[in-house]
Amino acid sequence: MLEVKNVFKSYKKPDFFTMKRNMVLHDVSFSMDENECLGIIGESGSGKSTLSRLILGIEAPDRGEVLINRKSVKNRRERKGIVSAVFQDYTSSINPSATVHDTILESMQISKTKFNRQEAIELLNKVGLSEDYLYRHPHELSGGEVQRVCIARAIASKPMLIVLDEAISSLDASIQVTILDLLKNLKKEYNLSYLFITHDIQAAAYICDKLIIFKDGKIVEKIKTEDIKNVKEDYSKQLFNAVLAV
Amino acid sequence: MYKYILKRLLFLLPMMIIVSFIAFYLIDASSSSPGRIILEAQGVPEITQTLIEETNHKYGFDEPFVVRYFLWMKKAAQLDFGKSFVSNENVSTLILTSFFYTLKLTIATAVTIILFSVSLSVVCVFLKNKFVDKIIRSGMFFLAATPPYLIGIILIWLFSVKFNSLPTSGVGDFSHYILPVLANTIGYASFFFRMLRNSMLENIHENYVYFYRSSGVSEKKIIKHIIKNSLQTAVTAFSMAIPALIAGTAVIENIFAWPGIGRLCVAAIFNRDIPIIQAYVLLIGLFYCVFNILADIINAWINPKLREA
Repeated sequence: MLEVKNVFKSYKKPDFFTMKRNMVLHDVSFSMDENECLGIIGESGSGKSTLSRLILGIEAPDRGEVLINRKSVKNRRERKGIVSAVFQDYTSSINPSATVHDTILESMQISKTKFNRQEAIELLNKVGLSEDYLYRHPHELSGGEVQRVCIARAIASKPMLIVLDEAISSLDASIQVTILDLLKNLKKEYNLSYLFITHDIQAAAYICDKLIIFKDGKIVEKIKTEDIKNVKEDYSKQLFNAVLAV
Repeated sequence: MYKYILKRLLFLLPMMIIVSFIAFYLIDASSSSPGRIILEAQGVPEITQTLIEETNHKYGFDEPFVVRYFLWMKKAAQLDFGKSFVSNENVSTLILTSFFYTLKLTIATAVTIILFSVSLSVVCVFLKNKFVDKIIRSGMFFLAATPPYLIGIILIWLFSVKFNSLPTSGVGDFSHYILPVLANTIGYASFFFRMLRNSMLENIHENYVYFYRSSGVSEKKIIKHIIKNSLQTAVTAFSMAIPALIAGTAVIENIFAWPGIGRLCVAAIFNRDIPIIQAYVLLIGLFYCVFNILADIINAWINPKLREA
């Protein structure tokens, strides 16, 4: 379903006198199937978020291509309603002037022309929020509640793939587990595919079927989650041993 | 929201009392005797002390300050600002007639400011750091630093003297508006352009915009959302700019011989026509207060977070 083929991405260095560029992603290739949850694990600054922006079609790669259902994500119409996202920074994730109702209905509008208030309420209930939240603004919600609304919004457009870019990282530990369980249930119910981008190995291991270990814009290793203790590369061993030691 | 509007409106009354007191006190504290000013304006050849005292008594200037203030306030509440010392005409009529012309100029200027600043900032945001963006920014930076009177003079020289295509002064058809509106717009538009551009650039990198983009929402819809959320800072500044525009048109009105309130006030200052100056200060103060409250209300409508403040 998702194919990332030989993707390169660089940015110009923020120096007026140089034309040099920082290589952020270097020949990244991988694919994922429908109903799969693929985890991308890496340290901060390893290029995970850049990769997510390329997959979401927000930015274009320098070289290579990103395909969903064999269609390039570069084309806005091709990716409309097929891919959705939940971001880390919940404070800016929702349009500050829109209510929860407007936020969800706007997302429903992406995939179909007819939508109603009742469907929005049902979606809210699915993510564990009551009808009372429908006409609230983002500033009237807690971090966990905003992230639930973001998940409801992501599902509302009935996408095939949801990119979860550090979606639980800024939440309290207790809420993280609740949100992970919620994501697991929704995946089953809606036959969703997740691309779970995180630096949290435990969370990735909890929710993902497969893992990709990322370092300095390159893929170090691809493994199945059950093989987490049998990684081959030194960097992967270092990463997992550090977590296991804790 | 209604509660918020009511709260802001209630705030207007004490603000206006303070403004009216300052307007009355500052003019009253000027050293000249009102009786002498009236006699001078009426062209009386020999002004004696007795004549000044008689005139002061006739117009009630010999009453204590507080009594005069309350009498003035009482009349002002009924839009009666007395008679001009110079022409003996009703001040309210003079102010109203000239204000009508200023209002027409201000509305035309405000519309062009919004059109210029919003459209140029949208172009610059979507062509960020491209050649067009750099050219527009440089031009706007240069124009922001140029005073309106200089722009006015240059425009008159260019369009009226050199090309003889537009009138230099006076009130008439649409062509009479072009130069004064342009002279007024350029400085303000460059200020709002920079403010809007910065605010839009901040919003364009917010996650909610990334969400719209990734979901395939049309650019037209995304721009609409970005503009709405970016307007917050500009709305306050723009609402405050409208009374500033009304008050600040004095220079432009004098250059283009526009019979507005600014020109009336400048003439009143030269003639020491106190009733006109007092009415003008009160009116401009009222505009500042009203537009300040209006800015708060619009901001609360755009940003629901502010309604709780």
